[in-house]
Amino acid sequence: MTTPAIILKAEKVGYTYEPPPGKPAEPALVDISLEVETGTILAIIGPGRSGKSTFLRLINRLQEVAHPGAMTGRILVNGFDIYSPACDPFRLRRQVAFAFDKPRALEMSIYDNVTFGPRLAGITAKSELDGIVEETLRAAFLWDEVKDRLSLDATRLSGGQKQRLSIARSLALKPKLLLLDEPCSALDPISTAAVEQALAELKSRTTCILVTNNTKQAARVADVTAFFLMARLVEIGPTARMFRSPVDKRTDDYLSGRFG
Amino acid sequence: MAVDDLRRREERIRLALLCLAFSSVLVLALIILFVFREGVPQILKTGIPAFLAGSRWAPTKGAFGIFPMIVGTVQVTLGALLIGVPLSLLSAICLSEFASRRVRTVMKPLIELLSAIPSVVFGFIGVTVIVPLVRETLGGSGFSVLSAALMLSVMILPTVTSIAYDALRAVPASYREGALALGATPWQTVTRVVVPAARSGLVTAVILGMGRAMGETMAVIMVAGNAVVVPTSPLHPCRTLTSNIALEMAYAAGAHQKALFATGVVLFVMIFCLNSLATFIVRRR
Amino acid sequence: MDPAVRTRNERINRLGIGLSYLVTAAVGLLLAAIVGYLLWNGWPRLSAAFFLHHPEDLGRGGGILPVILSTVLLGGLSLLIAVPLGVCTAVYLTEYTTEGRLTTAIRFGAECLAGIPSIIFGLFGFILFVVTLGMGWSILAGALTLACMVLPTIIRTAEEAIKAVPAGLRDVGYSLGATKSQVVWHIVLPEARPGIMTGIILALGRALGETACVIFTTGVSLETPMSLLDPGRPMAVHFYILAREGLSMEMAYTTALTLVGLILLVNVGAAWLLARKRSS
Repeated sequence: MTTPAIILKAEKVGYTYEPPPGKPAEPALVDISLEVETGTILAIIGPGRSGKSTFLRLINRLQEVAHPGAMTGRILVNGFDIYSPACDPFRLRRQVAFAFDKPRALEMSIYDNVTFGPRLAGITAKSELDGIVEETLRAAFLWDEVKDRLSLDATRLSGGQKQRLSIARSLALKPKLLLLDEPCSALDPISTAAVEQALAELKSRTTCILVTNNTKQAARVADVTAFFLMARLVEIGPTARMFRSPVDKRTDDYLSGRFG
Repeated sequence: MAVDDLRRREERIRLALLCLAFSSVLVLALIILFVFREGVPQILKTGIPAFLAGSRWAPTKGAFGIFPMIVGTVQVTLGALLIGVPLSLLSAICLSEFASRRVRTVMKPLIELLSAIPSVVFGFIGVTVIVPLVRETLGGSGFSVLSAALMLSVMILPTVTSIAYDALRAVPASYREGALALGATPWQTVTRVVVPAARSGLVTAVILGMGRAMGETMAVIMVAGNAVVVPTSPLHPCRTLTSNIALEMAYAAGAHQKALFATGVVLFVMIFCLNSLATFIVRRR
Repeated sequence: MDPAVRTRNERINRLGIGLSYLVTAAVGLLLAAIVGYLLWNGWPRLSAAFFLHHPEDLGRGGGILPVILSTVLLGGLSLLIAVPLGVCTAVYLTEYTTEGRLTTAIRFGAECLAGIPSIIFGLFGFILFVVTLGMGWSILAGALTLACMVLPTIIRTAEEAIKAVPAGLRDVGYSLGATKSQVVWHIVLPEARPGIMTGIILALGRALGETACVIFTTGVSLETPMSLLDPGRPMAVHFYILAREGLSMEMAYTTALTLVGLILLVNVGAAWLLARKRSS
């Protein structure tokens, strides 16, 4: 039996936003340590302001682009410390993709949206791009709906379609890890189901880490669930066990709705 | 390493953009440098009091007193404000407080398009319409301070109206509701509550209108008469600082030309002080 | 309240509201009145010949072809210079720095520039471009001066357009591995393009109407400019000379009508662009 590879390892990760002048600094993350196996879906649940999205944005070094702050600890992707000076953040972001909560289409055709990442990375051969477009749109369960109108302006799609498009867009670079920040929060139940189905079929090729406010979604989709509360990781374990018999009382309280 | 190459390229782009961003500052510096370099020595040679207060402007004989022009500018500007500001204010009040949305969407663009009309066209209409009107109803040649003030007031209407409108709109609805709840009529609400509350924005509007009126050149040349005389009645002709420059620049040389630059310096300083005043008032609020 | 006072207040109220409506209507109708006046007087001479022929007898007859050419060259070249400078400034101010002394200085420069009257730009353009740099009275000198004049307008509108681009869109770019300049070029600028175009068109409208700063930099020659270093006479200047020298009122009216028509077209085009962007 082969030991499954660990694609992501967080070691005692802490993060503090730069405070406004005159105010004390409050940590957004304290002492987060966890491991994610390749080929699984990890769901991170927890009430608002627990640090879930901040943690996610640290994994593809998106956090540092717009928000000044201080990080402690290490994050290793496939054993490689992504905050070491030798790491190229641009290449990292192509291997660790990100899907946002609000569906956002770039103001260009569906085809150009999907090929945006690959074109920036230097892929120009039309045959290759065509292949990427079909493959990713199929994986996002959007191909059948748009295959005849790939040159349509993507901003004209519905919210659910845009969200699936953004997943296809993230997959175009064949990332090893896909991070999703509440991807279904702005979607209707049917679009949500389509996204969840896409994730389920995706995980064998692309490990997914999903932040969600919807515990039921975590129960449906994730192999492993982590519970964040007020900047700390309270509990992490196989989803079925977490929901059936959580170890920590706070986890139990949250899952039963005693607070939220 | 590829990362360092990318980072270096990004840094170079950032520096290039920084340099280009300074273009506006550079242009401002160049304007001040070149205009002042030509004009200030001439002012000093004539002597500041003689230049600013001297009433004799005879450049061929070396007399450079721009007092009549200063008075001309002041009179024409004040006249334009006296006529234009109440009208603009009333329009702004109507659009902001009383008019329905439909009226507003029609009227506001119409007024704003007025600012698109070039000043020479206004001057032309001034000559063909306003000057004869003044001549026939009030006497004189028609080319006068009054004609210029009338024309300028129309020219500053769109600017003052639109800024005043924004200032009035910025007053919170709660102010109006509070006044109405105390039994005030809409007109009383506007005049006693909203307008005072929008005071600083309205003052800015007036000052910007003043700046525009002071800086107007071609249109004023066409209607003001351009006599180098201190006007003692609104029906007298006058010459403004701007007209002075434009009229004589074509054939001025040597000290004469430098004196025109000096006139430009005075104008620049006056307008700069006005704009600083406006910014200061806005910041204080 | 004393009923006499109340009715007096109400009367003042009605008077005030009525007066403000009256004034507003009058002001709004001014534009129509001006355009109507020009149309009435300028229409007779308007014809294809007017646009395609050369002026005769100092402009008393013939057409305004070289004038149109000068106008196009001057407007086009000044935008060609001002737009990249202005957009780069706006990009730098919004994307590359945070508010601080540097941005305050740059904004101060742009605001001061916006308040300077055009005659001073004329003096400046004359002494720097025409005399010191030796360009003589030329389209080039005029275009450079006009570019300086419209720069603040372009900076302001470009900045607003770029600020209006939702922040999340930039994150999308970064998350796909783009560098900052790539995000700006491929995502932010295309998204801000309608707003920037509006600003450019407004600046064009302003440049077309300019006289004071052009007369002293581009000269007044009625000859067709063959190169950028030749003098020329754009429409506003031609109109001014016709009117002031009293050469031909008819031609003046028609030139004015053309000029105003062109500028109104430009402004309405800008407004239409903006409305189209808002609806999408």
